[in-house]
Amino acid sequence: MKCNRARRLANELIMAAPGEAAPRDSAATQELDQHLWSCARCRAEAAELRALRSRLRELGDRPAPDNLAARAMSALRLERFRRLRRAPLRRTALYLRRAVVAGAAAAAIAGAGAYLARNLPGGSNSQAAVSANVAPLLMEYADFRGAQPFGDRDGMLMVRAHVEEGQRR
Amino acid sequence: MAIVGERRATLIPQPPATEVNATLWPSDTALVARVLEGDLEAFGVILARHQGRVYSIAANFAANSDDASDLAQDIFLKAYRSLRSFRGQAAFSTWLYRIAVNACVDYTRRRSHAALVPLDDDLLLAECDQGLGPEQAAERRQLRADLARAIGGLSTKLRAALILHDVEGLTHEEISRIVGCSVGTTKSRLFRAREEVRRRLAPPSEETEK
Repeated sequence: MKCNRARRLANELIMAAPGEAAPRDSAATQELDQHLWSCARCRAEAAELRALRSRLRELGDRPAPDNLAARAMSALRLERFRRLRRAPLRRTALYLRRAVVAGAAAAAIAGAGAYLARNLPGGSNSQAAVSANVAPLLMEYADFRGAQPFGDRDGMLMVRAHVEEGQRR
Repeated sequence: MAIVGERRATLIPQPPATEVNATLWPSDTALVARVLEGDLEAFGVILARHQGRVYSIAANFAANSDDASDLAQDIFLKAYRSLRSFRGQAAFSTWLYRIAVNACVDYTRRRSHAALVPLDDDLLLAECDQGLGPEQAAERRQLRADLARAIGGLSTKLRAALILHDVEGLTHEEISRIVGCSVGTTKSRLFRAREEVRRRLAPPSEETEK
């Protein structure tokens, strides 16, 4: 065995973690032992490694402070409380955004209907005709958006009333 | 090896060997499921189970005991926030230690001077002076400070490999899963880390001879 291989092997065998020693290691250990017996330099390095191993393992003997778990749990409870407190605000903001988008869409559809009614030949008859064509679409949209909370539903009800009035005319 | 085996047992309490009761000693995965259902106290059990190892990892990266405590707490908070990302493919401990190592690496980057002075006197005093005479305690404290300083001078990758394997006693396979590299890379990093630490610990005269 050459010194380079012995160094690698010594690193693996001497510094092995618990549960890492495989059966093949017994043969490797014998081979390493033979080399160490004949090579003073590698023997010294192996001794250094053994000393380093025990010193490094001492660094792991650090018990956690008694208050660590309590501190961490307090921080977690605080964070959870803050998150729960913010949750209704986040929901309200979401609903408001949805209401604004739905309102804008309804206004656009109603505006388009009014524009067509005004500009198509036939006056109020054509307005009634357009309303009759647009109405099912608006109804469908109103039904779809009606499930959304806040002003969205009111806006849709107003549109629906407007369309029904147009149909009656 | 027996010493490390005993230490591992104290860091992560194990269920009684004779009677493993799933109700009295739920698995980490079962506890995670309970936390996700809103049972915060289940996370307290996880915390109690893993705080020793997590603190130990943090203390080997931190500059002082206060930082080590803050870092360990931060690791558990991060774990709690990202609990939904734990899918149970790897062991919970592997997942948690990955968060711990990443947090420690971030900490080291934020505080570059932490790499130069890894442990303060308070931390060393608390650990070394139990049952030792003043001279022995001072000598041991000096040795540990030198070693900690040598480890602190390593790059974060080498440092993580050395701490997880040689200090915490994890296997190459566990480390490769935690760090996200091959077993061969882990072994290579460990070899380089030990060489570097030995070189830093060597007396100056020996170093100049080389």
